[in-house]
Amino acid sequence: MTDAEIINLIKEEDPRGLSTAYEAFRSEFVHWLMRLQRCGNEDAREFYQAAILILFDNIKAGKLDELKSSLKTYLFGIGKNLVWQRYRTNHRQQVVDAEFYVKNYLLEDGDSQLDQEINLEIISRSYQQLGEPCHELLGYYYFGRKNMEEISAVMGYKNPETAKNQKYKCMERLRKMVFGSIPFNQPQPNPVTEE
Amino acid sequence: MNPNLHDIDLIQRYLDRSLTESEKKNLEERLKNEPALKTMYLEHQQLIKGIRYSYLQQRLQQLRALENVLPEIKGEEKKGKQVWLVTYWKQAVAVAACLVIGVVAYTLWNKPASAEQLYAQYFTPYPNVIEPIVRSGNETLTKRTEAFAAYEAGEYEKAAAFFTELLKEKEEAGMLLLLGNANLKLGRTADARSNFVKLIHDYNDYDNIGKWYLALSYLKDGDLQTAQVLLQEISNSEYSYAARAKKILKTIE
Repeated sequence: MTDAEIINLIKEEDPRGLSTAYEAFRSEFVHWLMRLQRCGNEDAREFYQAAILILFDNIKAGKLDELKSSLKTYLFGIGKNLVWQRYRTNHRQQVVDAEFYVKNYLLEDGDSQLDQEINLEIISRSYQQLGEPCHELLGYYYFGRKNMEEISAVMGYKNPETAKNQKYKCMERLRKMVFGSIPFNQPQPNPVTEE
Repeated sequence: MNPNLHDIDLIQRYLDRSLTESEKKNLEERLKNEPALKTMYLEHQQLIKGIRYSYLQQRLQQLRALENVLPEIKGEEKKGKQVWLVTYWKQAVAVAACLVIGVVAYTLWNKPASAEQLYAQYFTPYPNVIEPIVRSGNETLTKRTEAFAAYEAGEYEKAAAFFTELLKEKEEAGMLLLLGNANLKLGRTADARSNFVKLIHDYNDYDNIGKWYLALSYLKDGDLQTAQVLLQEISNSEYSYAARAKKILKTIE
């Protein structure tokens, strides 16, 4: 399968995209990392899984739409960044799981004005408890990168404006579950289960 | 328009970088001067990252499930790091124990592995990376989600019944692959074979995986000869099952 085919499958939410990419570079990446980091295979695999997820997220975000290099070069570039990230933290001597790298990647991504630790786990859990149609709608918008026209067509809303209003309500519900009425810079509450 | 909705819309478009230059300037000015708006902006940004994290966590679970069925990477040493932590006397005891176990095992098992044994050693149901189940707790279960959920939960009888029904409505390669695996797990090798043959014949998506499970179904029935032909074909490919196919062939020979 070519790089372009893998990228298209991932963009189309076809699960073969992720698994094909994972299998294609797995052995080479893990060996490379074991040599570079002098780490064990378990550690290297966590690294690799994080690198593949970041690649996946970048593809979904359209960052590889005009890719000049090969997918492999791009993936190994992500790997090198993760290695530097590892050097910058105090985790040199222990196995670090993939979630650690993924969280760091998300926190560093974009126009982040947040220095404090964000509890992504709490938001993720609350999002999982959000129920339908909110879970599906927000997923389409923020992860599937669908626009309101596409969402209203897929989910059967009257028009994009109705879908937009529903999205607003869903975000408000999630906001209440995560933050309640406590201001941003104070300790965050435990997730509130939807009644 | 609800003023909050208007602001959220502005924030969203700001994050999407789709505001006009004047809208952007205006919003940045307001963010400096309106703490409530700034809070809304920061919270919104966090929530989006949390949603993305949730999706990446799901994908990570898929990768971990996939990793469990992939062949070991050549040159891998399980728990490699721990070897260095073992002191010399422990190593000596370990080597001696291995020798004793090796001699006993050689004496007891100095005969080729049977097809059934090979099947038991190598068969792991293919993970549901086709349509992973997201559980939010209050969704309405469709026949389709119930089918995949049953497969993930190891309820193969239930999954097979659902998949069979669903495939009558619409044929899908991924579902056919999982149905074959469910049938194989349940010992219905003839049904499983018919699923895998159809998968290989009618689709291009899972050829190599289909051949691998087809070979295992022959091993389960003790048909070494047919399994060998298929394994030979897989071992000559560049796919990840090649290494395992070679291992089985070596054992058979």
